[in-house]
Amino acid sequence: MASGQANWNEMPAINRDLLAPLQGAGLGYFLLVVLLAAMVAAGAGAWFYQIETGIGRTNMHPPIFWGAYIASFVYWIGVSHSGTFISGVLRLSKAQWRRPITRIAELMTIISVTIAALCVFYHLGRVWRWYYLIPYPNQREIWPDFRSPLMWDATAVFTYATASSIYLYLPLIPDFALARDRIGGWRRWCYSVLCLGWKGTQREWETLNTAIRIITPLIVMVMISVHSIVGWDFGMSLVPGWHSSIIAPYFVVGAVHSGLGMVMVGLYFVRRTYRLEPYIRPEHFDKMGKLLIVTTLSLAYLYFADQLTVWYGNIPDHMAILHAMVSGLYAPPFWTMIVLIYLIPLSTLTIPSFRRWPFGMMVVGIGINLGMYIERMLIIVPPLSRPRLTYNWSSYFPSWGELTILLGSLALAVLLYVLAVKFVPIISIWEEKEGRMSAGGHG
Amino acid sequence: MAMDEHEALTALFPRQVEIDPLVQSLREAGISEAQISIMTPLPLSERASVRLGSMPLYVITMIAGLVGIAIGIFFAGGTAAMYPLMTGGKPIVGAPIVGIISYETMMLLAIVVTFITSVVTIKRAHRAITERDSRVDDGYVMARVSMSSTSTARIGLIRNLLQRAGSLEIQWESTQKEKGNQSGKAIAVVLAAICLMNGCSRDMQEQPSYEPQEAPRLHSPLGAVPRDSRAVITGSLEESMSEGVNLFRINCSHCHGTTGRGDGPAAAYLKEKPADLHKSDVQTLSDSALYDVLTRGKDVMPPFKGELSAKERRSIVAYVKSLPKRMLEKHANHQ
Amino acid sequence: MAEEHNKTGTSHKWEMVVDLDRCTGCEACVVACHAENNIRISGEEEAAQGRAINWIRIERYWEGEYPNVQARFMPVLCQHCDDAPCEPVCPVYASYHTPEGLNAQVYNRCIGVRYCGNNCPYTARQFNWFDPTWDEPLAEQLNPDVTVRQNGIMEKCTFCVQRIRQGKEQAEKEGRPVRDGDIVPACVQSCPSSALVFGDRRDPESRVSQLARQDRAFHLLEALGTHPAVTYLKRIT
Repeated sequence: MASGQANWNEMPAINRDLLAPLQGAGLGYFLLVVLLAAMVAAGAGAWFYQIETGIGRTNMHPPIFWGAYIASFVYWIGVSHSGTFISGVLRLSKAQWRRPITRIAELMTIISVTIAALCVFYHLGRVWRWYYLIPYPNQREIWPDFRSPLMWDATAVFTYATASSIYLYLPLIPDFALARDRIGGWRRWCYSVLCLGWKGTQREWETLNTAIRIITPLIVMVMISVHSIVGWDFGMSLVPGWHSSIIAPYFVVGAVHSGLGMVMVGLYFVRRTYRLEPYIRPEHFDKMGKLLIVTTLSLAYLYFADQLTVWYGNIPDHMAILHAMVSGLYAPPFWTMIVLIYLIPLSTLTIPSFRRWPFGMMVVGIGINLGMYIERMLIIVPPLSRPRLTYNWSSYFPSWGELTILLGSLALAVLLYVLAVKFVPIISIWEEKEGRMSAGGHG
Repeated sequence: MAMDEHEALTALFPRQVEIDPLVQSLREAGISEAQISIMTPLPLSERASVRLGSMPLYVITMIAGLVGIAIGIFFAGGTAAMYPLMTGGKPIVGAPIVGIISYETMMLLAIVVTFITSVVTIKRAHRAITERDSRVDDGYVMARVSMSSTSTARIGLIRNLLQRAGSLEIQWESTQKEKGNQSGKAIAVVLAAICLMNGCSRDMQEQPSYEPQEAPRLHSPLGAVPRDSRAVITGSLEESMSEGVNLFRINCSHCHGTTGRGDGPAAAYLKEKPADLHKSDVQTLSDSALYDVLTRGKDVMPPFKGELSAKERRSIVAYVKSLPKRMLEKHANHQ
Repeated sequence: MAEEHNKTGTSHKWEMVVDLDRCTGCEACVVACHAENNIRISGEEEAAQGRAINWIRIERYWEGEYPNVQARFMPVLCQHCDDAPCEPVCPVYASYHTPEGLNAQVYNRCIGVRYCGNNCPYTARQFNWFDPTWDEPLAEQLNPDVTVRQNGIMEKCTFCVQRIRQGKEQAEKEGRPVRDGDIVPACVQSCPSSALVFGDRRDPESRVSQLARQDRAFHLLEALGTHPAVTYLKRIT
C-alpha cells in the first residue's frame, strides 16, 4: 500500500492538470468556435430553405426515396456506440486503461445521438408534423404504428439517448463538485446545481457505484439493441440487398468499428491540445488499436458472409446490386470503402509500434469513419437504385443543399464537443485518481 | 432522530490516515455508525450494494423494468388492439413487435428509475452536511461526527480521539439548516422548436380546387388598385387619352358638357350645378383627388366605381386634366 | 387467387385487370389520371431528375436485336396488394388496408418518412417533392373530390376511390346494389382499347372476375407474395 499512499500526493497535480482545459481559452479556440458556428449557420439556413420549399431540394427521386440524410442518421448512431462500448463494456470487463477515455467517449455518444436525431428531422417530408410519431392519446383516436421498424427506431433511440445522458451524468457528479469549488463565473452556478450538493461521503460513493454497476449492463444491452433496430429499418423491407438476416449483427459491429475510430480521433486532439500526454499515453492507443483489429476482422467476416451468399445465390435482383457495387456505377466508392475500413486498419494496426503512434492512429480513425460513411451510403443507395422492375433503375448523388446541411451538422457536432470541453472535465477526474490509487493492486 | 444533525465536529486528516481504526475507536467511544461521515475524493471501497431501508437498489430496478414491460405491451399491443387497422397482412398484435418495444421500454424505465432513486439517495445522504471542504479533492480526508451540544466533556473526548488519530484541523460546526439549495431546481424541458414552426398550420384545409356551385374566383385586372386606396398608378398617357375622350363623351358630357364647362343638357335640371372642369379649383386638384371624386362621387354626382373600371376612371382623369390644353389648341387652331 | 387471400369481410373487393394484348402504350390512362386526381405538373427539369409524378405509368421494354426489335408496354400502377409491403412500415398509419381491398393513403397523416416508397417492389408510390403548381388555366380544372396534396406527402393510385365512393353512394340512394360497370376509374374510362377493366371481384359474373380467370392471367412479381389486386393478361400477339 505504500505506493498507493504515495499516489495520493499526486491528487493536487491531477486536479490542476485535468481542470486546466476548463480554464482559459486562446485565440485559436475562439477562431475555431467562430468558424464552426458559421458552418452551422450555413447548414441551418440550407435546412430552413429546404423546409420552406420542399424535400425537392435534395437529389432524391423515385425509386431512391432515402439518401444522404438516412445514411447520416445511421452513421451518427453508429458513432454514438463508441461511448457506451468504452464506458460500458470496458467497465464490465474491469479494464483499467479505460479511465482516461470514458468521458471523451461518452461525450461523443451523447452528441452523436443528438445529431442523429437531427438527421431524422432533415429527412421528414412534413417535419412540422413530427409529433405524429409520439404515442399520446388524441382526439383523432390514432396512435403511431408500432409495427413499423421506424417506431422501434424511435423507441430505441429515445431510450438510448436518455440512458446515455444518464450514463454520462452519473460519473460526472463528483467532478462537478470538484469543479464548483475551483472554477468561478457563471459555470459555478451550473456546477452547483448539477453536482447535487455532492459531499463525498461513503454512502454517496456507494450509491453512485451501485447505480453505475446496475446501469452498465443494462446500457450495454440497449446499445446492442439500438443498432440492431436501426439495421432492421433495412432488414424488414423487401428491397434486395436490404432484406438480409445478418444485417443486425453487421450493423452493431460496424457501429462499434466507426465509434472506436472516432474516439481515437478525439483522443488525439484532446491529448495534443491540452497537453494531456501523461494521462492519455501510447498504451491507450495501443489497446484501442487491438480492439479495432477485433472489430475490423469481425466486420469483414460478417460482410463476407453476407456477400458470399448473394454472389453464390445468383438471384438476378440481388446480383444487379452486387454488380453495381463491385464493378459498376458504385465501384469507386465501394473499393474506397474496402480500403479504408478493412485494408488500411488491418495493415497498420497489426504493427505494434504503429499502434503506439497517436498521429497515425488518428489518421486511421479518420479513414475508418470516412469509409464507414461511404459504407452507409452504399447500403442505402445501390439497392434502391436497382429495383425489381428494371424500367425504374436510376442513380443518386447528394445535392448541394444536402451536403450543406450535413456538413453543418458535422460542424455542430464538433462545435458542441469543443464547447463541452470547456464545461465538463474531459477526463474523469475521480476515476483517474481511483485508477492510480489502485494501480499498485490492479494495474 | 432526535439528535440535531447540524451540529458536528469536523476533522481534516492527511492523506495517509487509517480510516478503519479511526471508525473503530469512534464506535468504541459510543458514536453510532449513522453519526459518522467520511468524505473522500474517491470511494474507499468498491462496495456497490447500497440499500434503501432494507431493499437493495436492484430490486427497484427490477420493479421498474416490469412496469416498463407493461408500458411496452400497452403501446405496441394495447393501442393496436384498441384501434385495429389492417396493414399488409401483418397480425394486428404481433408478438415479436411487442417484444421489441417492451424490451426497450423495460430498459428505459429501469435505467431512469434507478437513476432517479440514486439521485434522491445521494441527496438524502448528505442533507445534514452543509459545507464541503475543497481540500478533500486534493487528497485529504474529512471526517464528520454529528453530535448535539452535549456536555463539553464529551465533545472534548471525541476531539481528543480525533487528534490522536492524526487530524490536522478540528472544527465545531453548528449551523441552521440551510434552506434547500439549488439542487432541486428542475431543468425546464424545452419542446422542440420545430413543432412551433407550423404546429397550428392549416395544411391542405384550403384547397385550390372549386367546389360545386362555388363562384369563380376572379383575378384582379392588371394594375388594379386596392379598394380603399386613393393612389393612382399612372399608365401610358397616350392610350388612356383616346379612351378618356370617348368615356368622357359617354359618361360625363350630359352633365359637364361636351367641352367640360358644366353646361350639359342635364345641368338645367340640377340644383347644384356641375363643376366647370376648366376652373382652377378643379384643375389644381391632384390626380388622386380627381380619381377620388370619380370613384366616390361628390354631392349629387354619382360614384362611378363599379360602373367604370379603375383604368377607365384614370383615363377620364387624364382627359379632364388635359382639357385646358385642348382648349388652347382649339383656340389656336381657330385663329 | 385473390379470393383465397381475401381478408376483407365486406361486400366488395375491388380489382383491376390489365390486358397487355390490348395495350397500345398510348398513355391516355396516364393523362386521364393526372386530370382526375389533381396530380401536379412536374415540368421538364424535374422529369429529367426522375421526379415526374405518374400514378399509372407505361413501362416500355425493348426486346430483341435489330431488326427484330419489339416494344413491350406494361401499365404499372399501385397493385393494391393484399399483403402490401408498403403498409406496415409506415410509422404513423398513413397507409393501411381498407376492408374493400384498397391500399389507402391518408394524406393528412403522412409526415413524409418515405419508407413506403422504398418498400413498394413496383415503385408505384410517388412523393410530393415540392408544393404543387399548375400552369394557368389548368388550376381551374382541379377535381374538388380529390385533395390537392401539399409538399412532403406520399401519394399513389387509389383506384379512383372518389369514384368508388360516389358509385356506392349513388347505388345506396337508388336502393340497389352496385352494378358492374357503375364504377369506372379515370384510366379505365379513358383507355381507347379497353385494355383496363375494373370491378368487384366478389361478384363472380363481373367482367373483372371473368377476365381474371383466363389462362393468360398472371400477377407482377408474384413470387414476392404480395397478392396484388391487379391481374395482368399475358400478351400473345
